[in-house]
Amino acid sequence: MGPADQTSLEALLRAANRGDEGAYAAFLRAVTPIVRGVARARGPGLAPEAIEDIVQETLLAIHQKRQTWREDLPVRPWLYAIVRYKVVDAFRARGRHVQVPIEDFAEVLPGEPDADPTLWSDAERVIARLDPRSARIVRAIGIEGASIAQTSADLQMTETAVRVALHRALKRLASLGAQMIDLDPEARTE
Amino acid sequence: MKTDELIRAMAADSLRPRGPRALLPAVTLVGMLALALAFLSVLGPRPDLGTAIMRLPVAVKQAFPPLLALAAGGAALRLACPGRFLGPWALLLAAVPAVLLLAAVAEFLALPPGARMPAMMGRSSGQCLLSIGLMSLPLLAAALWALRHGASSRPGLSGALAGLLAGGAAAAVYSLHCTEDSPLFFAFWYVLAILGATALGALLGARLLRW
Repeated sequence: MGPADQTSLEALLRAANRGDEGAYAAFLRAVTPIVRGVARARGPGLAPEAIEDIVQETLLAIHQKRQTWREDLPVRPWLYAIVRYKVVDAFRARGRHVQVPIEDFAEVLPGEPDADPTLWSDAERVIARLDPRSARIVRAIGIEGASIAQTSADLQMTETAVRVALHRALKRLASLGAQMIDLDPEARTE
Repeated sequence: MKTDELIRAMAADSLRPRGPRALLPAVTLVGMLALALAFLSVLGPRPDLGTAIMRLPVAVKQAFPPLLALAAGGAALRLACPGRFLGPWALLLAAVPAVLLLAAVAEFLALPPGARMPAMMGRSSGQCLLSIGLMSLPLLAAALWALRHGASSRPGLSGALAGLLAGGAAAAVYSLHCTEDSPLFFAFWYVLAILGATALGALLGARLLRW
């Protein structure tokens, strides 16, 4: 969490803005433990899967709103504001009210994933609500690790069409995720 | 889906979403221009606009709505960036009403008691409210659409700023036609119409600007 780390977050996101996918993945991996730490500190009673749901919702929000970071400003205040908003929002949707004071971010240790692979149960439910082709694209690229080029060959689509479909699918995942939680807050509290 | 897998899918998504920084000024200016063309082609600008504006009260009447819109727009854009608040725009947001109040008080003191009420009521308050109110609606819709590309942690406040921007911009267009030059008139009726748009923006923003 020193200044070196801070420099690297800005450098990573700046490179990501120039189209460097590897830097963007590294940025998202670097912020994930921060998000997880805050979610866990706020909801100590929540099951690891529920924590990971919140982590993934927040990452999707960071992804959707990444253009609101101004390159001449530090990343952390921006990042913490998004995390605070989404974590409070996620708990509210689950019928719990939490405050996330800014001091949290100083105290919270970055969270490592809990023992097992952090499955996002919601993600599966939400992906199931996408149209079949979008769902296939998200699974191929995310779970199977296929490239855009491979996916476009497999699905006989142009690369541009795959990129647009992936972009829209993630946008829809972000909004569907929030909607589905709003629909059944009860089912998600335990 | 594991978090790492989600990250992989997100990293492959190279299409950059648009931010509100370019969208909000663009839609507002295009909207104002379209409304000005439509509105002025029906009612026309006041014939003496060029000379009237040399008088201080008229200059205040012409300047305050666009300044209010500018301050509200600037503040809304800052608020659309997580971790930022209104910043220096708050000063302009406070200064404009202060100048208006000063102009109204000066006019109140300058007029004989019997002339104050007629000056405030004017002859066109209905047209003023209706025109500014109606013109602010499409501007508010455009501003909210642009701000949905941002990420305000205060959706209601951002919506109110969008309404203030829309109301100010609509009043800026209307003021080109209006010949009511008493600060008692425009500090009341213009402000009333702009506050209506602001309240509507706050209501809509609280729902539409969540993310």
